[in-house]
Amino acid sequence: MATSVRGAGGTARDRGLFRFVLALLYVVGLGSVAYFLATGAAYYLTPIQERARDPLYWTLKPGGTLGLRFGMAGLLMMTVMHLYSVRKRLRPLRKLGALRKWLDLHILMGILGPLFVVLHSSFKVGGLVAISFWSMVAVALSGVFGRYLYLKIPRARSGEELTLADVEKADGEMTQRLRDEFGADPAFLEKLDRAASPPESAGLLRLLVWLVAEDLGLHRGALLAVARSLPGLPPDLARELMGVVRQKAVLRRRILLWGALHRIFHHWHVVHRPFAVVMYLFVLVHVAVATMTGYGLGWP
Amino acid sequence: MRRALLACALLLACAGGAWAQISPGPLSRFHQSLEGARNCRSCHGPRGVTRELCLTCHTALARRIEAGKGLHAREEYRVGCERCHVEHQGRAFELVFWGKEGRASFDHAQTGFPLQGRHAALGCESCHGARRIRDRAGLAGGGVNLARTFMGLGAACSSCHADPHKGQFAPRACTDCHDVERWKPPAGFDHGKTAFPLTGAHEPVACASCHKPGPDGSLRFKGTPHQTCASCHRDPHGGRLGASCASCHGTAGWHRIDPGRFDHGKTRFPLTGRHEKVACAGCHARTPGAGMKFQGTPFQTCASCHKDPHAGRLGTSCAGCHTTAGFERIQPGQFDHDRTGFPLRGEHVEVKCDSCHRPGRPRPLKHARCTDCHQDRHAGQLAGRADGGRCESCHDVTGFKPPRFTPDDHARTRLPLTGAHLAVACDACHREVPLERLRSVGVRPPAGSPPRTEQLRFASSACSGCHDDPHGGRTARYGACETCHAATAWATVRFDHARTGFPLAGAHVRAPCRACHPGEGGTLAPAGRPTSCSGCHRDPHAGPFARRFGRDGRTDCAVCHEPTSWESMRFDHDRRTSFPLQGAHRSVPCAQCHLREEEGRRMIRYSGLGRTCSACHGADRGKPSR
Repeated sequence: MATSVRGAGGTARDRGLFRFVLALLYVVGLGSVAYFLATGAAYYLTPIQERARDPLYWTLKPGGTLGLRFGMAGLLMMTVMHLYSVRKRLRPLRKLGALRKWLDLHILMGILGPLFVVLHSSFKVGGLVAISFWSMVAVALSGVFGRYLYLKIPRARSGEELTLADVEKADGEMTQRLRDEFGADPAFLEKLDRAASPPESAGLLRLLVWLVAEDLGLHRGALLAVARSLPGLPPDLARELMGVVRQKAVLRRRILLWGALHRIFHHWHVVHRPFAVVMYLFVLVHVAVATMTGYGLGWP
Repeated sequence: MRRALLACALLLACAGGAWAQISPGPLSRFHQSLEGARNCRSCHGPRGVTRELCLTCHTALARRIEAGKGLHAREEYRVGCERCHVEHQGRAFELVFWGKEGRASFDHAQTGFPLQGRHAALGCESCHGARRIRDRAGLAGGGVNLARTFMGLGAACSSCHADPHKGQFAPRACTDCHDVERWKPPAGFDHGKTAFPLTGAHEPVACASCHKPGPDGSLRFKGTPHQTCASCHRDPHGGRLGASCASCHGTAGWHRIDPGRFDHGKTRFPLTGRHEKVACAGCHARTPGAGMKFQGTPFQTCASCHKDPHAGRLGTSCAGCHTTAGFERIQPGQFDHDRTGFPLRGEHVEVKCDSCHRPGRPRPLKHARCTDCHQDRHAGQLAGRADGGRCESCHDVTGFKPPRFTPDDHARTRLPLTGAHLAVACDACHREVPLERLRSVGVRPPAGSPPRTEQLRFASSACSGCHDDPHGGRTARYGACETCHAATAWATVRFDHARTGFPLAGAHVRAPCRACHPGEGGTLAPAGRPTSCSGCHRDPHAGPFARRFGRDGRTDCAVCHEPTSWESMRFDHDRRTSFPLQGAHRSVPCAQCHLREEEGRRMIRYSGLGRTCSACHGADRGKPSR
């Protein structure tokens, strides 16, 4: 019997269907890119000076029968991805699906679009459009980083950001559970807070490195030592304690890094968006010039 | 707002320097002058790079395309120029792509001028160069780089080649005489169509032998004098025979005087017969440095030219026997063979000369023996004779047959002819046989003998040498044929019959041999006959005495009869019957008691008669007793 739990992100069935469609789009998109890379490998590996004599030149060059379509597809995807920004900013559209789904679509298009643009460029980047290309690369890479930061900011299931009060409340609940279920005393809780805390007076870059180290499990040893300091627990309870300790440590770190993460995310926007703007502006110029020189929709 | 300002600043910072970089890549050095964003529309239109835009600048090429000439006018090249001449690939990029195998693989036929013959092996630069372009100013004005272009050459030979004839043949084309394979000899030139067709020895003469160079150094082909032979040739006769060379000579060769042209009959020595075929040099000997000598040639006698094969034996008048028809052909009736050592007699008179005087036979002909000319028809069978088998012993010149070989001559052989043999034709005994049979009797036929000839030699003179034995060998124990037969006649036989164990007596002496010895085919069967009476005689008594007086179931006739005659009886009636004759019975003739009976067959009854008196002397006379 299928369960249908309604939440902020829709029912579980809706979420499952969305994930399936999303995975399918990833498979189709990435598979297409892999196919075109494989079939055009001989051309792409030919030195640029010799490509003009290659039989695939008129197919795979940026203005070729296929190469131009790669560019059009990439541009279309990178245009569609901005539906996410529209959805995020326009109030009347807020009821149009969960923001997390729009972000997933934004990320999908943000990955496939640049890959098709890379196919369109046939790995030959030069001239004015190179600014657009490298801006695109910067936007794409910063998008990956932004996604990482995005995951570090506590959010509701719908994708909406939680407030600091919400997080502190959850942390309090976790502290009470340690006391009630595992008999944690104030000394244990203090050791746990110390082990979960990032280094004091660290700059933003150092905090980022510390976060990555946390994700890599490099700080897990300290937490394990704290958990073992609570004696007399049977093994299964000890394992459960380790899980609660880890969650408590994450909440603690989010509270402690609340201000820092938001500052980093703010700076990320400063990088991500201007590069995107530059990219689109030069793409417009590129498309305009290409259309003027005969590489419009009707050619070849 | 702050972000937008930052983006605009970044954009302007990049755009200022990047505007010049709007091109996808540097143009080739040939289009270098078109570099820059303002010139994009020089080549690119709303529909991309088009031929029309390219030809706006390349006007010289446009004119050729419009005229339907050259490579670019071909249908398969009516595509975008950029398909072959790819741009934006850098300064060093070559705009003309000749294919992966390079320029040498280009099919020049596409230009409308296929490279054939000697042209095929030439490099591009051999023809395509600025100095060979006809309309240099026009092309240069059309923006064409004369040092690089392949345009501007004409299809005429003179576009590349100098005219070695210095315009003598203008306005004719070079290809009227020459082709692309070679300049000399001119494949398309036919001297036969000129006013002086080349024939005979003129054909292989090099052009320059007759066509001398003019003032400009080129051979003069027009106006070459040819009306007389002296135009080219020197007169080796020094004018002695006039100016008309052609009355004796033809173009076949100076030394080959055409008999149809020179009339030797006009000389004091008209040529007849075999002389007509003799080469001039055969009589008119060559002299060093002056050719043949025609005048003063001696001809009064045959010996002026000919050697006497008879070495003077038959005199000096060759014409007495020979004519110009040929040395071997003696004039009929002209030659007296009696002047030779072999006067012709008999059959020899009619023999054709060349039957004996055949070509190749050694001279003088040997004639001491007939076999010097004739083949030995007897294949050497008579070589062992005392005279060596000389033909004259049997034959003479009146004919090979009949031979002069009489029975007297035959008497000197091992078989003198007597009796019937005298009347037998020679070839009845001397039949034609193959040579193998002669070899079996010791003859060794010489080479060249006929395959069959009459047999003259035999292994022996016995009758069997000629005759078959009609007795089939059954009389061999009595000796040779001569034991019974003589040469006079076969049927006359003389034989002592007592040697057979059956001496003839009585009537047997008079009986002819054939009565007892009948054989097949008229011959006798002299042996193997039985000696008993029944062997030859039939039993007239039909067998009743065979049991009483016979032996081995056969009647012994001698019990009653004598050999002298059948009627001569010597039967002992007293001893051999149960009715001894007594008294008057002794003188009674047999037939008085033994009567003849006519009961279907003729016979006399000797047995079964009654013993009673009435059996003979009564009514029952002659009837058998009961």
